[in-house]
Amino acid sequence: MAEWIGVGTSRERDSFRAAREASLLAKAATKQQEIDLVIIFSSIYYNPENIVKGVKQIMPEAKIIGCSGSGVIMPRAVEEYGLAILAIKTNNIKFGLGYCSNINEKDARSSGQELARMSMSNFKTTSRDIFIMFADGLIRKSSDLILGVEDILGRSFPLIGAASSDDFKFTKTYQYFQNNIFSNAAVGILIGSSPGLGFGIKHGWKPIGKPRVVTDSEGNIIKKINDKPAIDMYKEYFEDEVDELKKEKLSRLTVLYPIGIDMPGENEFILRNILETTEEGFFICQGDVPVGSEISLMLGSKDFCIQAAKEAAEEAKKELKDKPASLIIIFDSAARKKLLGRLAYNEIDAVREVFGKTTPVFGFYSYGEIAPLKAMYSRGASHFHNETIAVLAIA
Amino acid sequence: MPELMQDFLTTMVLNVDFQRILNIIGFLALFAVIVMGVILAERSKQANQLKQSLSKMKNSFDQLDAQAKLIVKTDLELNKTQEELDKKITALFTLQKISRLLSTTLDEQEIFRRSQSIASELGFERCFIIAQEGTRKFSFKMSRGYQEVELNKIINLFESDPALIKVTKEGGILSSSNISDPNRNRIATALGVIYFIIAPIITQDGIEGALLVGNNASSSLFTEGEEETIAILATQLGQSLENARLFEQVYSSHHELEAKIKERTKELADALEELKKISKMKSDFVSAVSHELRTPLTSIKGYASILIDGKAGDVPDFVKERLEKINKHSDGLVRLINDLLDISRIESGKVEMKFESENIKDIVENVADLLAPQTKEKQIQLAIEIPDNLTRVYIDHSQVERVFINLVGNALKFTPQNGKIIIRAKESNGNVQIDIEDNGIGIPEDAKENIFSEFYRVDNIINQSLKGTGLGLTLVKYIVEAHKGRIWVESQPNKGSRFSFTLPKA
Repeated sequence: MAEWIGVGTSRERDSFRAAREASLLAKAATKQQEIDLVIIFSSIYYNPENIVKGVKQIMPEAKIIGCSGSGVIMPRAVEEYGLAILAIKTNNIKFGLGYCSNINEKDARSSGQELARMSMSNFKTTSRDIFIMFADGLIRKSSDLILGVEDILGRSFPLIGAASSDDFKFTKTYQYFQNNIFSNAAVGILIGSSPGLGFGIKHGWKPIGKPRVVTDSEGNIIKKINDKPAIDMYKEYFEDEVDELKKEKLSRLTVLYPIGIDMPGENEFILRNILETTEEGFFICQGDVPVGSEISLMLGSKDFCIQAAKEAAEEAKKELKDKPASLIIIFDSAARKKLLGRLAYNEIDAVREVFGKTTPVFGFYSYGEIAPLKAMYSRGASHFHNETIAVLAIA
Repeated sequence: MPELMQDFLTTMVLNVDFQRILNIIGFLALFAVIVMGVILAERSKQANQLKQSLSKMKNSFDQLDAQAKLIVKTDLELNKTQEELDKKITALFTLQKISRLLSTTLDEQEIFRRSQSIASELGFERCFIIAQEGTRKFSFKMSRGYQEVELNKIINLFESDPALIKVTKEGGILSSSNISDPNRNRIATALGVIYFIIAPIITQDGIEGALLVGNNASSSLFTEGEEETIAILATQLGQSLENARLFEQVYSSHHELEAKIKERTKELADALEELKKISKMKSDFVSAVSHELRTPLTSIKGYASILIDGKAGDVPDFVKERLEKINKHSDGLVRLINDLLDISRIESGKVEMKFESENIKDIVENVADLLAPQTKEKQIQLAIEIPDNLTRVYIDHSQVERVFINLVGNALKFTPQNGKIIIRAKESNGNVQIDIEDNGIGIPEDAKENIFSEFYRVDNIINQSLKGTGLGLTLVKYIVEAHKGRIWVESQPNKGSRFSFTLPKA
């Protein structure tokens, strides 16, 4: 084998000690002296500077990328207060790292282009397989950012990733890039010459009630649905409860009943959570909702969630064909975690059931998932998803 | 001409054709119009039908949407209830986990160490336990997430801040959500956390200290339920501490007791050993002295007899009288010495008992014969109430005979003229119990327990006039005990006594 992969985790409260512990465990699992790449997923409660210091102390030579999450997915648990570190030593796999910062101040699309260009120039070879990116979950125009990356790498190039999160505080999330800690940024890694990749994406929500049409929107803001202010759609179903949407960011109502966009040729609708509502009754979403989109109110359940996790894993496994997975990375929605509560780990367990319990698993809970649609119509273009679980399997 | 004709004909023909064609076209047009009319009518009918179905569909769609609204509403209600339940279950789960952790140790230090998990399990960044033993100053028993400098400042706060003093004196719960703004800010700054809960730790002796948990991260962590949880944990902590102390107390007093018992047992064993030694010395002494006394006594008795018999020449009567007194007192002395010797022999196990199966009635009758002169003299009725078929006993014949002689002899001695003595025997608890009952002067209550002691004589008129060794009952007791039996007495003064003893069955 020319790749050595190790996952280390820690529940230690102190940032530096947690980083050291998880790094030591990850490095030990690779049984290698020098590590090429480290991916960090950390709870928002840690001090990110100390995390990097701890990692650097154990693996000074490794390139670092990662982000903060609303929780960390470990092989045997999910933790709101925890740290998961992936260490890779490889002879075959090639990779190039990139980042773009100050996205909200700049144009999101050109930021995406900047991120892709930097990753490309650091990559230096031609056989590219996949681009994994972690974008700040609090930036407004995530869809534009994805478009920017696709401008450079190609519309159909596999692009997968997730939006960093801060456990529903909506104040600040972190992105790790080498020694830097960013917010309002995106980091990414271009991977090539990998032995095999498979991914699956599912959410499990089902449309309910009348389909409606978005009659006015601007990027990620839905202004009118069926020519009425967007909020009227929720008022029809929830009456006074709708106030919740105005009071809280990403309230329970939108977590339980997101908006689904009907995509031609896809089995599932693309989900959109309502992050905030404006005074005019417009919805501010994560991810775009173009004018003319056919949308529905979506209904889910915990069982659907866990079934979807299993299906996403099965899809990823199918894509690997006969190759066994040596690593599973899971990008799971923070909203799903909120919905599942104590049962959150059941999703991870469902994924592990599919791949066998010895395969290392790690990931984090995000404010949005980035993954391509699979229907012919979509031509492999990536989209921004909400309340979705994305499973990436690496052979 | 022919050309003209031809032209004419051609024109005619053409005209005729044109006319026909026109006719045909007209007909066709008419037909088309009719067909179109029919089609149009049909289409309009279809359109109407379509319109109707569309409106029906729209209606069903609206109905479906109304149902969807109902489903969504119900689902929301369900979700809310489930969320509440989930929260409570999670809290209970954690509570139970920590409670178990705290209650499974009886070591005070370990309880404090384990209580650190309160912070980690419930997701608090900082926590501490502050306690005050008696009237001494506060000290920290456990802390997490604090530095020493900070803790020193907090100690002073607990001694000066009225809100905090209230917790440790009156036992209320103080939290960032139940305190007014200026107080909250002051305490929050001092404790270095934005959100906090402080709950008193209460034991039987009163409020011993307080448990603090705190966070800087999120207010949503602190709900009312959480305050309750922390209060319950603080109570649990108090109970665990109390248990640990009680255990410590019980443990040490148990140890103390054990040591005392050991000491006492040793003392008793030593005393017993000493007693045995003394007793042996006494027996040896008595035995030695008796032997030494018996020889000269035999000589005295011998010489006295010789003198009385006149073998050494006639002696005057008054001398003879005195010589007989010497002889009589010598006999008394011999009896005394013999009894003493027997006691010491039995006591020291020197007497060899010859156990045989015997009929108790035979022995009793034998003794009755032996004592017949005295019985007759005092006109005492001696009744033997022993069934013929009474089980046989396994005894030393001559020793048991001595028991009867002594007991019946005593009865005769202390029973007035015309009195009655009854000897009974029966099986009892696997032994044979013999009762010797008289209607004599009885034994005073205070004398009963000493009656079997050596040289003890009950102070009464008869004893004052009749001499005795004070060894008879002692000897009886020794003999009965040598048979693994038991002897006891029941008596009422002036009514009579009943001596009972047991002997083993054959």
